[in-house]
Amino acid sequence: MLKMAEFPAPVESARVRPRITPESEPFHGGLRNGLLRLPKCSGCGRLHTPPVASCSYCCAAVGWVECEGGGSVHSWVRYHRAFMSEFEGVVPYCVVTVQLDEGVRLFGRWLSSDEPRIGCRVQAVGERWNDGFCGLGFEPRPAPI
Amino acid sequence: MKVNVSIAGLGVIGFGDFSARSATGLADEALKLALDDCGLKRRDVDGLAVHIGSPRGLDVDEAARLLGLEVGFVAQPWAHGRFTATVLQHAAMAVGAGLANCVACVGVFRNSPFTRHGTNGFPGFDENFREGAGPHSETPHLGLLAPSAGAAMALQRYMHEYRVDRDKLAAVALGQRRAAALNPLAVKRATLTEADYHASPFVVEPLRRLDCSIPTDTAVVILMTSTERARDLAKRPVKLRSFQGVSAGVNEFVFGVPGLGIHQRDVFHWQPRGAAEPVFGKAGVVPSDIDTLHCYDGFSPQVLWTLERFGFAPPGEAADWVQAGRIEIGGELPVNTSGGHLSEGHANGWGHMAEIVRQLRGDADGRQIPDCRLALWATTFGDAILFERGN
Repeated sequence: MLKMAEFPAPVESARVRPRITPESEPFHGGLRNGLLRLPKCSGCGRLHTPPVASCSYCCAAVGWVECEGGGSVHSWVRYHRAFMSEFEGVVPYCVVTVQLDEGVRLFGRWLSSDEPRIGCRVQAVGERWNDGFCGLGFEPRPAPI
Repeated sequence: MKVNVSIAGLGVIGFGDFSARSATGLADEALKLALDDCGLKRRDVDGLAVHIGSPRGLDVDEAARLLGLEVGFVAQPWAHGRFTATVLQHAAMAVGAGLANCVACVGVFRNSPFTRHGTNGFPGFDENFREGAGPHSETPHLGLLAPSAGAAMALQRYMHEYRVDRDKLAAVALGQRRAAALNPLAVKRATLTEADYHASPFVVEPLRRLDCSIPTDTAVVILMTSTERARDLAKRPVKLRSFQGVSAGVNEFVFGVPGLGIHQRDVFHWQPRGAAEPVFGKAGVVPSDIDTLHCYDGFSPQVLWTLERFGFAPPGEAADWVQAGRIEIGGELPVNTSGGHLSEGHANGWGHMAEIVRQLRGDADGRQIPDCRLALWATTFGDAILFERGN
């Protein structure tokens, strides 16, 4: 199960929510339940994001697997402005691209006050909006004790 | 297929705020200019390729009717800047394959209603909610908003991977502004200093506001016909010597190159094809033969990555390569001599195409590159056209 965080502003997600398709529903539904689910190819075993109807590499069918969500920062950006008013309460904020240990790169909001560092170890976190919608975030992963 | 096709006529309206005008009116005026430029009549035009957007404008059907054209070949790529060269390529292929004798390529963009990069609000921006995250990968619920984000993400990775000094990007914005100062059509002509650049606020860090293009409006019409026919018309033909299409796939991203872009996954250390890109080989030329490069510069790092992708600079070294006026008029490889999207104004590549025609005709006035024979259009997303001065 992913750790869950609250989106730190009392706003609704209606204007920012993606249109959920049959290919993406398990991903978004998973996050709501604290799971990072990604499509996995039944042929070559690759994971995919954004969700696909069949594998981008070998065209085989995909099924869904739960991921641990550990990885490292591949790149990051910092927003100094809110391009939609929903984010006015959280600027400045960072978005990180993460190389998941499980093979894909995906991005999410950075849920730490420390500046991200390329290569640093991170863990996926669910980020719940006021109205229950959940997005993907990442936070630094504590060093193993 | 070998095409023997040239640009015969050019009409340009721009650049500025034409948001109160219609796409029809702008296209009509630019078409008149292009026809007058070379001495053709509307009845000579039998093919039409349109690229009209932001907001969506005319489809080919309405455009033909409203512009008084009777055509038997049409093309209409999605009205996004990455398809500008595709419009010209379709027109060239149609003429080359005998589907049309003269194709009018009509680019009309009204971008000025977009707020400046770095200002609050981008309401209703079409690209925010595209299936599969869209060409720029905007993902509003994760806060990944505005096209600049993808370029910023790629730049951060690039700087890390190659230990690039962030401040060296100033050479792109300042150099293109110096070119724009010589271009009466450019929307931004005031001199910029290094201090101005460093005072420019971060928008999506590491991109500064001066690394981002200036949305503007334009109408450009380019008339394409056979080189033989173009030779009989009023202006010196500009030949399309060779070209290659847009690259797309799991490791391509519009505002980066493989290894840097959002949603890519396999590439960690990309080796560009450089001089082995087909656009060079098909024409039997090498990068050092090119007299001027024009590239899609929605964001300044795209200039660096185009230089690397097409073999002008080694991977990771373009930021050093562009210093000391090397990409300015009078330098080794003048780039975006109109000022480009960063200073002439973001007209989805159509301003660049017009400038290529002027340079190869010898009509670029104070910006003219002496003895300019070969001009290359090339982009971070892999497409290219090699243009050659005709006779």
